[in-house]
Amino acid sequence: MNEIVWQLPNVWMGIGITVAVFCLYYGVAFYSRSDTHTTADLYVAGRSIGPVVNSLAAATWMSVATFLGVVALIQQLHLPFVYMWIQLILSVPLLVLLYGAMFWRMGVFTSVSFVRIRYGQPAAYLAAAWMVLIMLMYMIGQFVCIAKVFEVLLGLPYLPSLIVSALVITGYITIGGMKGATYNDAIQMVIMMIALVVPLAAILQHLGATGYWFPPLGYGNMTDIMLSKIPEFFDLKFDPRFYLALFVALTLGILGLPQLAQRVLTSSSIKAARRVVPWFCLWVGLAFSATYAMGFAGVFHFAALGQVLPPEAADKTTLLLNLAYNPQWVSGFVIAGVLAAGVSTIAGLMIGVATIVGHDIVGMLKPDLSDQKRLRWGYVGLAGTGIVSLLISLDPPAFLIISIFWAFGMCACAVTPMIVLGAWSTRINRIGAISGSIIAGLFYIALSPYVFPDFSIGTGLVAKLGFAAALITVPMGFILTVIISLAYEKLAGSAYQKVLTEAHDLVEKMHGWPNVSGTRYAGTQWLWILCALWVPVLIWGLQPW
Amino acid sequence: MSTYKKEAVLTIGFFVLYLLMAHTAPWAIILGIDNSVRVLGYPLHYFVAIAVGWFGVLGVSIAWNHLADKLDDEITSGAEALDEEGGNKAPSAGPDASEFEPVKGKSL
Repeated sequence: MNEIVWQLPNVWMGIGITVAVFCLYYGVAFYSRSDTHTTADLYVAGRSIGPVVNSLAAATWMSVATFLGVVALIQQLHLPFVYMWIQLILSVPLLVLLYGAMFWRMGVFTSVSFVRIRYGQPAAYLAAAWMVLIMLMYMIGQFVCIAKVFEVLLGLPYLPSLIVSALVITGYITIGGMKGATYNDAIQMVIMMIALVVPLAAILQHLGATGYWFPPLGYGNMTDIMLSKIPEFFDLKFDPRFYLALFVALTLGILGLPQLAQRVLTSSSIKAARRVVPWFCLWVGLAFSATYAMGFAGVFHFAALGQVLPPEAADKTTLLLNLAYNPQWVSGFVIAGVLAAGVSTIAGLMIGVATIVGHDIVGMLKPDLSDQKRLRWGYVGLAGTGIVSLLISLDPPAFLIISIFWAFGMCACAVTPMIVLGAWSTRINRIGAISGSIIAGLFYIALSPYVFPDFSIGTGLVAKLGFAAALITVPMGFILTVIISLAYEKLAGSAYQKVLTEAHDLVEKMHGWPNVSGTRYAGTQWLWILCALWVPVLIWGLQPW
Repeated sequence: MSTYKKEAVLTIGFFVLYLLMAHTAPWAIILGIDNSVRVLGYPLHYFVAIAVGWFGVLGVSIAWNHLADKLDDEITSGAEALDEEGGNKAPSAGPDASEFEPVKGKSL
């Protein structure tokens, strides 16, 4: 297949649409700038965002992969990748259910702020290090993808594309702060959904889908033809351990993502924070279902033509289908949708990193800084985050681009246990939290195929995605956090009572109790049951894979 | 059931429900797959995956919102506070991190 096939014949049309949408983003950023007076305005939009806007903004976290990687992976993995992607819808629901609403009540800006208050500064530095690493990996992937969109779809050279796009994106996010980023994210999600769903309806109509007017569920009549071309399309293919790993590595990983937690913290009230969840499910369900339909249409289209797509072309399936079945200006709009997907994800990540660096870390190093000086550090943090990401993206390590899923596994073992257990049990302490996080996190890195290939657990896809390592290190993270906490409590003896009293004061208040009883969330039975549930997972994970 | 227990049951219950809705592959593994069993033209297990993974999760979220709001009102109104002995009154909970003192434990 010739490379020119997936480039817009009229490049200027694509560039024109791109410039127009970025002008819109800058307009929103400048408009929002006048509302940014304090650090709370910069980092959590002054806690003024309603549930619909917030849910749209939160729904953009699935990144540019919605248009590129997912469709390509559906072509390669078929049904298993649909299962893999579907559970990502649980990110915000589980986050709000397990700790998001409590964090809102505490008034913290990030998960690191919670860790600092709950476990102290050493644990906060550790959590900050993990979170910045995870978010930078994710963000660099987005920067590189956006530059590749310019390079491949519009025919512009990679390096200038990367530099210009990174500076333009960093500029509008720094100008608008969290409020500008939130409203821009919401606009970008709308652009993404229109760019995905509307052209898809036309594509499905051309392919013969009778329900093309509702693309997410409108292509059922094409099933028989699909099965005649690719009989294994709807097969499960992988063993049950793969599907267990989806929960262990991905579901538990994404619920600890700091940029998502911060999104919930921008809500105007605790009920508004909860209302984000159903709205989020509505938008994400629509976007995901349309993505599966696009993947199905891509497989169907090329199977019908008898063509086998090379991997580098599979990423461009969405554009290939649009070029094949829709007018050129529609493809230009789809490129705007792809860019909106990448840019909106970067916005959330950039503010997440900047808040941790500019607010949490600077706040710990210089606790007496005035709010105005912290605000200034916040802007420095935002601009610095963009520039550091740009510099790494100039020559990105190869594994960074393919391992965003791997980063979720790291979050699941190193971050999620200390946050979730700390929010629900007063018996978890800083020694347990720090030990569990360090040991599980370092084991996860050591067992990955990227650092010490000889020690890597598992082979092929399950190793690259971090599933094989996560099945060992996530149970390890939870079990160690519990056991070391309880052992330390026992060793510390009566001197520990003060810590326990403080933990009760914090945990009970963040759950909303108007009085502190000193007995709630103090049971150890459920912690032991949790450990017992993790043991078979750990044993299964240790088996050769 | 006390409000405290209700909170635990509600959280664990909805956590499990969410998993059941969004992780439907285990259902397919346990029940087996048959591409000839169709809903709206799709093989049953594929339809369940995409429909329950969207509308099921949405439905659970709406139900959780409703019940969590009620529970929150019960907790913050202090319905159980009168039954608690030896509890010290906390400052009004709200979006102000300064009310939450760090757990120091530095002496340990």
